[in-house]
Amino acid sequence: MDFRDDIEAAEFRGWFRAWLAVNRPTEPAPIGGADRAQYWNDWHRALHRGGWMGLSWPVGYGGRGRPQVYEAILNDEIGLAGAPPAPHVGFLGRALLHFGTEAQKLRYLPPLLSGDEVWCQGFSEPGAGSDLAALSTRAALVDDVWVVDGQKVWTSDAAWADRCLLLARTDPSAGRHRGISALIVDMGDPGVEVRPIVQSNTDTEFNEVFLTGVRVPRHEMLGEPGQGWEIAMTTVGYERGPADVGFSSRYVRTLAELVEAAARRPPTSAGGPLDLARAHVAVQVLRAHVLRSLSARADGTPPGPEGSIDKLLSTRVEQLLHHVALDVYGPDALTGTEPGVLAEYLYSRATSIAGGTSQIQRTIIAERVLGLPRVR
Amino acid sequence: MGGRSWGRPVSSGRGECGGGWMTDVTLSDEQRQLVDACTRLVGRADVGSPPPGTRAPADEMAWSALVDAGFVAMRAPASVGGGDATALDVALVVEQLARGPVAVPYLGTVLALELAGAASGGGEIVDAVVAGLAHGVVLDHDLRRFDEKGVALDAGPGAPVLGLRWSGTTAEVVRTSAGAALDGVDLTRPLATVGPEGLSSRLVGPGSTPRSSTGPGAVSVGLGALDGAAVIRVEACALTLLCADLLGAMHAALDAAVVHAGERVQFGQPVGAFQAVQHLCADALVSTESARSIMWHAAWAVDAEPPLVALDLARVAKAHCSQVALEVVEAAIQVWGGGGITWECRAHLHQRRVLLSRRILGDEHVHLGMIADSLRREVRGESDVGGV
Repeated sequence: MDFRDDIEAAEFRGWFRAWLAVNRPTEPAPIGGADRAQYWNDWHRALHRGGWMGLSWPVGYGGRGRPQVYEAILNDEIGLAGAPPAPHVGFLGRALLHFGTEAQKLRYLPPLLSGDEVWCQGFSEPGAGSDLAALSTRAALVDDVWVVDGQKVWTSDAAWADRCLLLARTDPSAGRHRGISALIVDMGDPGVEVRPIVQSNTDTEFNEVFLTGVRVPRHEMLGEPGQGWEIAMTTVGYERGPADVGFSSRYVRTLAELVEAAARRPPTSAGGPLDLARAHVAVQVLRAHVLRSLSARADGTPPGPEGSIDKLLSTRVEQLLHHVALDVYGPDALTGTEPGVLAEYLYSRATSIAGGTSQIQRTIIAERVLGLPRVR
Repeated sequence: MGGRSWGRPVSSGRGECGGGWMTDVTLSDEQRQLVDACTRLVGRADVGSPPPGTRAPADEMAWSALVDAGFVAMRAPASVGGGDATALDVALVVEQLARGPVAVPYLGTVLALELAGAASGGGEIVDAVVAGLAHGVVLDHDLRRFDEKGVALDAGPGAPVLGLRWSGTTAEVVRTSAGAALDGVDLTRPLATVGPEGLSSRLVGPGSTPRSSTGPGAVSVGLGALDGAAVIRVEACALTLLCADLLGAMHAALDAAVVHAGERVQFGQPVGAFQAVQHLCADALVSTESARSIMWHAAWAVDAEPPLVALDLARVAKAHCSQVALEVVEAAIQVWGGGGITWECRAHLHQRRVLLSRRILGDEHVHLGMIADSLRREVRGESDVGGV
């Protein structure tokens, strides 16, 4: 067991730290809309130019072929520097890596990594949230073209995405899960209409996506017909791992900022110092657990149901930190003096919903990790 | 704080470099074999609750097996008959014995070994432990820290015990013997008094004249002073081993509750199929596995990090494990239903173990307070405690 870098990794860490010191954006991300999207895309492209994207992806598809923990180092340093989080291309990229044909991987992975093409994930529907397998968007094969009709919701980044990994029912006669396939949809198709959803913090990350007669060439299916559920579960498995989306290091930084803010502000809550200590414990526990999870699948094994433990731990940390932030900043978070504190708190409530609610995670743990009888 | 270590590149000094592999948070093959060996031993030693109102008798056979396997003195240097084991190795044994729970004075003995090993005059104690002689340790009356009088852990009347005589942030390791048996909460771990009532110590430094003699009772012998760094290292190790103890207890309690939830039928289905029960168990697993992760990290740090970094991590681990262990055993009792509060059900064995181990050397409230102080000091740029 060893929690430290080896020499090669330490060297890498040093290079990236030096690069970050010069290249990290100094302005915070603007809230809402296309400006925010542009900010993220600029950062994405900068990281790619620096050679920091796709560290653990195969070299042949634009990656760097390093062990997966280099992604964790990258996220560590980003978090410690207070730079914007790394682009969340990991989970969709992993789906393409696992299930794509050679042609698809060569076509789609390099621009996904470089930021030249933005992807979104068309999974949830108005009638299929936690019960994703109830989805009703349909795709029918007509003359070698999948014709797609239906509606998606909570689709992050759809307003500026170039492609969508879309789940659709291709075989209504098959079982709930087996009738689902995954399609690669061109968001420029005239049958695609995107309507942004204004969130409680005025941001517009999420969207509704309406699909009317959208045409997808037959070869743009990911995996085999009926393999959509497996692909979706692999994708959300990666999406749930805080290591893969790179949040855990951000928490270290957020906590350090809160500790500093608390020290220079008058105390606004009697429990303040102990709350910070509780948050520190939660962050350190999450970090140790994420490193253990990453080590357990160092051979590239996709995350299994035990990844729901990571998801619950990171959700708890995120929401705890933003509660502490509300208390540290006190009235300033409520009177417009510290708008970012309020906006981030409001957004933090999404972490126990997105990527599978905390309740769904607990059911996964109970049934698939602990082996308790299934609820039916 | 421990968090600093994350961002700090380690530039040199490691033999196993070059594989391009940064972090390896897995047990080694040897450590897995160690766990397997302990699991087999625990299986053989497995006992139910002792008769109502009684304590579990010391399991002499299990103790002999532990001595024979070399697990008792495994952290002593190989040169004196130990096994050069890491703190994590010992923690894995502590965890498995707590799962039983097995009525052996293992934790007290390995803590005593840690104290003796750090003291210049502890050689005889180390030899005695290598030979298989069980020892206890002395804690103050609050169970907050090692002391020279108060409460002996893992010691019956007259048993040899080691403690610390404090002088600021340094301390001297002292050997004395346990007094009267206490009615301790944990049925598998004896507690006893140590001075001053009826046991006023005759304090003797190594090679020196007695410093005081206040009456009849146990002799307290000084074994040598520990500097601040040694005290911190011992405390970090002890906190980590207590976390391992808590982990074993919560793991065992949860395992049994999950089995029960799959078998007990109400409303025509196993209660484990009800979401309310499932989510209770799922949260308990999140607690247990996160406790394991931070315990591993803290245990690894005892041997790999500077003392203060190791102590910071050990405090984080003890704060987390103390809190979640009680939550997990209480959740397990809830899953058992009425059976969970009976003497016959083993759940209270785990519950009792947790009640004691979470308090020893400070529960979550104690350590959260210290972490809060440490965070504040860090912002002000002040140096940490201990003078090292």
